[in-house]
Amino acid sequence: MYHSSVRNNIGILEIIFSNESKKEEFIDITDTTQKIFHDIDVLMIRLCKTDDNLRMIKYGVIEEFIKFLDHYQLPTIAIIDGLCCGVALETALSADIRICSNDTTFRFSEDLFAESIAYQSKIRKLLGNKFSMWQIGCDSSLTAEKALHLNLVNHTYNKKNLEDQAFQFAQSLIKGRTRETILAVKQCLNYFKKYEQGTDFNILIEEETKQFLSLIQGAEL
Amino acid sequence: MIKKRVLFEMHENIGSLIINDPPANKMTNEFMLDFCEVMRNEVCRAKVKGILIYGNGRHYSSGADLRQLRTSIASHKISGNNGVEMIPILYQQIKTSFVYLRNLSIPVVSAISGLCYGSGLELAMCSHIRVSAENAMMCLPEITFGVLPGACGTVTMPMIVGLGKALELILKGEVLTGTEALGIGLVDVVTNKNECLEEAKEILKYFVENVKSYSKECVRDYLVNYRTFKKLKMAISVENEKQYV
Repeated sequence: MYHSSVRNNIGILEIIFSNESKKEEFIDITDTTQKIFHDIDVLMIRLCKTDDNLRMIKYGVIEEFIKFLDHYQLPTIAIIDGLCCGVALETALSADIRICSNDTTFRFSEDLFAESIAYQSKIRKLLGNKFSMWQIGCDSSLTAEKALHLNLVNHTYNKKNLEDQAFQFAQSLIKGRTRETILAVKQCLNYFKKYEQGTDFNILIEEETKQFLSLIQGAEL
Repeated sequence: MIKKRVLFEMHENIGSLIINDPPANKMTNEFMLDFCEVMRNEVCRAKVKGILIYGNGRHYSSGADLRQLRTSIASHKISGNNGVEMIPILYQQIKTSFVYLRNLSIPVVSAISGLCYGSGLELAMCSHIRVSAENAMMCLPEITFGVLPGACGTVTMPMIVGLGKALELILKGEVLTGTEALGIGLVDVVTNKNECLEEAKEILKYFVENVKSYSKECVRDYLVNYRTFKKLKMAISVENEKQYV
């Protein structure tokens, strides 16, 4: 189940995860996002759940939506409140920025982290150099404070003001920016998400050059 | 005598790359030409075991002159018949020089004081270790002019602080102090503003003398060892002083 709305060029997508969530539903969310949010500058995704125990939802159900988020052309912000695990966590990790309430807990799957190199690589890209502070095993459960310290989340707010603060944050990101520059920055970061930092460094540099040259001609300097 | 906007000095095993256009150390086209020349003729040929980068005077660098850079790009831009555009040589060379520094297998340390904006911060992010004064000011303001950080910033920033923080810093163009930058991991060490350069020199000297097979992926481990080494050194000197008293 989901709700969508647009306010001041900010798309707001509220997804309610439940153990009855179906694959078709998430395909529908993907289609809706493309249709309804065609002229927004940033997408906010509010993650809600009917039950804390959501482990029954299989990854396959949300796989298409995760892929869509990973390559989305505009900045995405996940808003998290309470326990974040399973498919809700996967969705949050696919957004560019995470904002959470002070009492949020992130629960990672130790098995997935230990077995999947792609998953480790994804976490490394989200944490940057702070990945070296990540302790496998000990950090399978993270408080909001620790997640903030590790750069996994950008900001934490009081539960009461979470949505308002997140909205203000989204506004501050796009205020005074042209859609063209937002798209160019996001394109560079999508390459960063997609390619490996070591082996594909030159591909990332080339894309940055392309985007920079296209923007500088029309810039108001 | 022609002023050189970039200097390269060697002392013992350490090379110092100095941004020499005070007071702001702006990265003008003239600076970029000098920078590329010094990189090509001196840095590449130097037999040094570590490189220290800093700005002459109060500031590290206030970044590129975007207006000048745009004019230069517009006048050098060549469009091919197949729609492929040639990249202006100066822009390409400065980027190559930054990448060269990043890829070196010897330690490259930046001592950041005062302003470190735009391309200045991009150069610092291509260093392996950043030592900053607590009141230094860092930001990528390009977005406020309608462009993006085009000298490796969109690649190195997420590598250092992670994707979410990088996107926020690039899109907001927000200014961070040295202390704030340390909090998100953008710099590795913060010092008093008068001790920044000395601390950077000490760290580099420690790396050169004590790290046998250097890898830039391990700098944070080396820094932990450096801090232990420094504490021990201090404890020994206090002990010696006590003996004399």
